[in-house]
Amino acid sequence: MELQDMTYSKDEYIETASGNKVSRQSVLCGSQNIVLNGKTIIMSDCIIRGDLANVRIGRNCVISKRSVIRPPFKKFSKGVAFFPLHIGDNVLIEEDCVINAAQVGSYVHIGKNCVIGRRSILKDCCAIADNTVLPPETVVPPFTLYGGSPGTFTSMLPECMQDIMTDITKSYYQHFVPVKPN
Amino acid sequence: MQKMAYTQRQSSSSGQSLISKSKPKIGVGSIVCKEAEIRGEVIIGSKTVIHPKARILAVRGPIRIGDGNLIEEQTCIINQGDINDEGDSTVMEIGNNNFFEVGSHCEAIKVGNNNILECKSKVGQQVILGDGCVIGACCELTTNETLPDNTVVFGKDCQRRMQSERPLAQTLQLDFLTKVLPNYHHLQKSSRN
Amino acid sequence: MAELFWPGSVLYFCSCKLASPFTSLYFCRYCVEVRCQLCVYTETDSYFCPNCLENMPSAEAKLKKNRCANCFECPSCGNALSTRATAIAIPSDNPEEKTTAKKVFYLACGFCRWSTRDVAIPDRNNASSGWQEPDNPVSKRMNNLVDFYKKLATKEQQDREKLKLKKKNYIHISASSSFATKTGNLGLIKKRSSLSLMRSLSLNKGNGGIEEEISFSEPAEATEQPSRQDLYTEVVKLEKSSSVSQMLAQPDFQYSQTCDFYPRHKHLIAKRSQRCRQCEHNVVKPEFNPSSTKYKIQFFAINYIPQLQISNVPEFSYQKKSRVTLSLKNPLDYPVNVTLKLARKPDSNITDDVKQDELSEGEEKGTLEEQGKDGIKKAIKRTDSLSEKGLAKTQKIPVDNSGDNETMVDTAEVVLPSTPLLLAAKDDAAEFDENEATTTKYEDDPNVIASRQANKIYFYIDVTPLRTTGDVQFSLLLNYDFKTIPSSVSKVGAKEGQDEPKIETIHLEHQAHLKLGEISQSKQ
Repeated sequence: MELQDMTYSKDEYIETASGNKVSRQSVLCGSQNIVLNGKTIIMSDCIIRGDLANVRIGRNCVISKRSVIRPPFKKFSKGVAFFPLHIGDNVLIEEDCVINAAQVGSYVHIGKNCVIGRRSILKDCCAIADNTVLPPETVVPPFTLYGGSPGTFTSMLPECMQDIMTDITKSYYQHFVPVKPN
Repeated sequence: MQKMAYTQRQSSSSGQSLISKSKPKIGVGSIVCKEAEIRGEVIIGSKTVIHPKARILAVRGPIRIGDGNLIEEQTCIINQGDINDEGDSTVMEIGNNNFFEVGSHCEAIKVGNNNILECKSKVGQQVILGDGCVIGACCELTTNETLPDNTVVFGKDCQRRMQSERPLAQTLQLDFLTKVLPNYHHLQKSSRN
Repeated sequence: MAELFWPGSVLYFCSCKLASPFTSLYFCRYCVEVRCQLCVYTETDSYFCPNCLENMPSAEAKLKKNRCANCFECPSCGNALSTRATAIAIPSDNPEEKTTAKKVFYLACGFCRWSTRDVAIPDRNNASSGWQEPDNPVSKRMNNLVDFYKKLATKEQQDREKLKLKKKNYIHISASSSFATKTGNLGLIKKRSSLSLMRSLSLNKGNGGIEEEISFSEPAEATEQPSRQDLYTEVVKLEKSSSVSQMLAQPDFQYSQTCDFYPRHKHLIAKRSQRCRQCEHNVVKPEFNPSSTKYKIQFFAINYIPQLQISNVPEFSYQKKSRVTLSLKNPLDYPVNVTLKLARKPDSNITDDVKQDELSEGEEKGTLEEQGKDGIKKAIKRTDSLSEKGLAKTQKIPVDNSGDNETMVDTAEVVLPSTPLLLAAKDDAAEFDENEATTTKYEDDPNVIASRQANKIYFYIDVTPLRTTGDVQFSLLLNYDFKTIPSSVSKVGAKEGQDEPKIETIHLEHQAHLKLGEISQSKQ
């Protein structure tokens, strides 16, 4: 079943020249440190913490409602440092997630209500099942589905994951349309 | 590539109109972002950091927060305590050096010191947290009990184990945030002299 | 989640007639057929650790029991352990300084906060080494038994060969009394239980080379009283006793107390390649590097077969015609004309046999065309594979898994577009093309084609549900021409005197099954 049209009111979203759609109800802290590479959707009540460190989000990504993107910190013998957070292209993050990862590759799907632990590394073409708690510093290899609490290897994903995610994120952007005036 | 030039806005939260938005008392050296929602009678100690979009709601009684606590965004600390026959409300007490991670929810009337509430954890009203407890991510604790010191609750079935050492205080992170947050956020001024 | 990666609403039929989600199918370019997960061999390309993403040669992986040498799992929750460094103060030899700081390492779990310090495992001086797993208490006996049985097997083999020799010899020699005794002995040995044979062998130390006496375990005696009385009296501390899953994570130790836990090496996972069962060509071959997502060979169905999806579904009610929007996407780099046909008539009295006849007719057409051109090579290949693997396969349909598709019956009357649907070629640059002029090129019937987007079209079908309950579902056939450079041209073509590789057009037919969703109950 293909995605159905999701409508939003034109007043709520800001559309940038490169096609990013950002909800006015979202909180982008330290917006000068946040880079969106185009055609990325950031929905209402999302929080992106650019004030802690740089956040870079690739093309054709979707950050669903109430998700938090937060650069991870690491303790050193002298002080702490927040690491920049990079998210690749064609990444779909569903609702109510907390992303504390150091790196999220391209073509990644993160299910609803997930907690991605500090400095986790999500490689390209991987997926996280709904309600997963990924412990800190977990590495998720390509073509694997991680799920559970703690998140562990659950199954392999189809080899054509890259095509699937490209398709999903692109059609998501296409179906995310403003309400037509009556 | 395009940098987002976008001002932060505060979304109006619905409900909660019952509680007055009286000014909280904030101790010396505490960082409380203006975008945090603090309602009712709230007293905050010194060197505590409260991130934007955190919610501290003294609905049915005052909330007293100690020193060196770290309260991250989407955290909800809410006093839903009983009000006795004489009309006295229960005071919610949170000790020192506690760490409330993103999206945690705390209704416990008493929280000791050095506890960690991980992301999306939930602690019910009947629970009393001791010292050095860790409530794991997405764990819910709604029993009627006093959690022994150094208990770790983790996993999908809220398994428990005892820890030999209590978690370290987040002093270094607090120092860092105390330096960085004022550069990006409007702060509520500390009121205590 | 599953619906996202293995969509169940549209299933495609493999050449073995099993219906599978489109994303799990392959398209063998050599056979020019769809292959499902059951029609490919899975081969392990390489082993790697999911935590450190380091490759391990298969010989080493076997030696290390498929576990990573460097990464450890938490015995309490199964999460990967991380190495923590800390400085401890130790009394110095130098009397002037009282203590010196020394860097030590321990393992800690970031999830349940278990650490090697919890169970009093001493800290290590070196970050990377020194975390030896304890020896399995029964490993020595296991090894002994394995060795013993290996020797036993070789000895039995030898005996059998001797026996054969003796029998042969015997035919040549005339009957004698000495022989009779020999055969009697042999018969006796044969009849002896393996146990006694074992004993006789182990007694036979010098000769058979089996050195060690195997001792047999004594069965325990059943008693009325449990061996541990304290089980009745002692208070159970749930925090300190291990759970079933924790015990099963370490089957060889099964610690019942959390204080006995020991970190375990992390399990490896594998990179896999897939090979067509029929022609034994690779359909999927990934790159060697564990973190790479690229392929050396990738014949996914999604890249070769027009992809049918359900775009929009109205509410269904019994015997009421409703309009469903489907989409069809062309993954090929040339325009394709797709003709849709119903696979079978809904709820009709056609028996299974007739249906299958129809099907195989369609398939045979394709086969004939194919075989006309590279039939010779195929025949050779097939015999090769048959003799090599000893697999008995029929000529065309090696496996028939259609029995698994029992629930797939048509429950609706469907009117498909009667005209062929023309799909534009896939163009990777189309996304960046600002002026979308492509739509004007086609003269589409607005009653058939809803809209067009580059290489994708949306079209209407009319569906009338014929059942009062359950899923509205039906099967259809996609017919189109597939262009390919035949694999045989380079070799066989030369013989036939063809100089340049020519593009061959093969008519393909795929069957798909669509589940449009449940019929609405409210309107009945």
